[in-house]
Formats: sequence, structure tokens, C-alpha cells
Amino acid sequence: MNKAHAITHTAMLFAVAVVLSFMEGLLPPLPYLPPGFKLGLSNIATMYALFFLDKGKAFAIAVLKAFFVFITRGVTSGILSLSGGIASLCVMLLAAALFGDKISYLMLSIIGAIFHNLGQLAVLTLIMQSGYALWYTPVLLTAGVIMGSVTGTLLRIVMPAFDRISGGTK
Amino acid sequence: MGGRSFASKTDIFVSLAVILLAAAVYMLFSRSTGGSYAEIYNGNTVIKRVSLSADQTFTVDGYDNVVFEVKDGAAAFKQSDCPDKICVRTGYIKNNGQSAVCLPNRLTLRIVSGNDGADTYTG
Repeated sequence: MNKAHAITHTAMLFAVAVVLSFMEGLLPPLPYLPPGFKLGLSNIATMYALFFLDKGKAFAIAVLKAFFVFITRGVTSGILSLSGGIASLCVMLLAAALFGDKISYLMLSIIGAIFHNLGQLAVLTLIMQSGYALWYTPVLLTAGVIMGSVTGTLLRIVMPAFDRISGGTK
Repeated sequence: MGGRSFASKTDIFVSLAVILLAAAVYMLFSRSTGGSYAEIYNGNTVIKRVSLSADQTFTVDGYDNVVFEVKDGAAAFKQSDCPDKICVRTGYIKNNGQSAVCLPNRLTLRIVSGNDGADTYTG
């Protein structure tokens, strides 16, 4: 794959990520769900890049996503998006390296979602300079398992579409 | 792509284990009895402290658009001018150590036991 192809490809996946997160914003907020229970649909694009393309593209998309959040929703949200995205990717890479093919895509997705939440919580704790938010860890763990399963399953469903974007060059 | 499967039976057990662990930790946290004071922090400085025994709504200096409420021994962010309203959605909290956070305004509402006898102070 030449350089222009690689750049265009990353850009298209990034566009998919932005559209997914926009669509998620259109969904009516679910009642009775505590904050932190976010679907994280745009992670589908990052996970696709990580699992089937290469880690460079996945990190590029995570950074671009955070930059997009930064210009649309402000500094704090941008930093949180970046910390969650990077933590999630690093831990998914680590888990894949440790367990090889024995770990399923679904489990990787769940681990990614959990550490997306935990990474954000860690940075939030730093910003607030207090440990009180750590009280929230159990809620975020549960959210990670549920939302990670949902996004992992959705990735499985929309994969043919992603493969079409990739033009069979994966 | 390799021999990695999409999902495996192990996933169910690991997921359940994580949720059980989360539930256990959560119960451990909330087993502590109801708190008696609500403290408002700006960053890590206490700027206001009110008793949970009297129902009231109040604001803190410099944040006229953030309204707190104490009702039935629990406290909450009632209104806030922040964009995401995560603080308001956290709802009423009443147990020791629980907190609600408004990141854009850098305000934290925290429940503490407090036994120094002071009803209210602002500093």
C-alpha cells in the first residue's frame, strides 16, 4: 500500500469514527443510566484499524478523534478523549501480545472499553486533584463490560462495510 | 486473520467475574452508613459544607449558575451551566465518600461523615 493510499484510508476510517460518534449523540439518552455508560460507537473504527490494519493507523485515528473533540467540545473533553483512547489501545495491544490468538475479539473489545473508562478516570482524578472519583470505578467496570460487548458485536456486524472501504487491501 | 475467534466461552466467565467484582466493590463502598454533611470542593479545596439534615437549595460564591440541593438526607447538583450535565445526571447521593463531579466548573460535591460539630462554614 503506498503512502497516499495509507493516508486516505486512515482519513476515511477517521470520518467513519466521527460519523459514528455523531450518530451516537442522536440517540435519545437512556434513562436510569449513570454517567459513564457511553456506547463509544466510534471505537468500532479504532478497533477495526487496530485488529485488521496496523497499530499506527489505530493510534492516528484515536489522536484525530481527540483533536476533533477538542475543537468541538473544549480542552477538558479533548484530554479525556485522548487519555481514554490511548489507554484503551495500549491495553488491547498488550492483551493481544500476551494471549495471542487465545483471546477473542470480543474480549479485546471489552478490555478496551474498560480501560477507555479507567484511563479517563485516571486523568480526571489528576485534573481534579482528588481521589474521590475513584469511587466510580465499579460503575465504569460494569459499563466497560456491557458497552465493550455491544461495540465488539457491532464491529463483527459492520466488518464487511469496513472491508469494502479498505478495498480488499487489508 | 489468524486463528483468533470472535468470541469464546471464556469471555462469559471473565465478564461475569468482572461484573461480580464491580458489584462487590460497590457494595463495600456503599455499606458505609449515610453521611451527615455535603462538602463542595473547588479543585481540592473545600469551599462550602452543609448539613444533610435540613432540606435546602444553595449556590457557592462565584458559581451563581450551579445550584445544589439537599433533600431527604441526600444532596445533588440540581442545575448547572456546564454543557454535559454529567453532574446533574449523577443525581442524589447520600453515602459517605460518594461524590458528584462537575468537571467544566471544577466543582465536586462530596458526602462526608463529619463529626467536628460545625454546622456550616464557608471558607
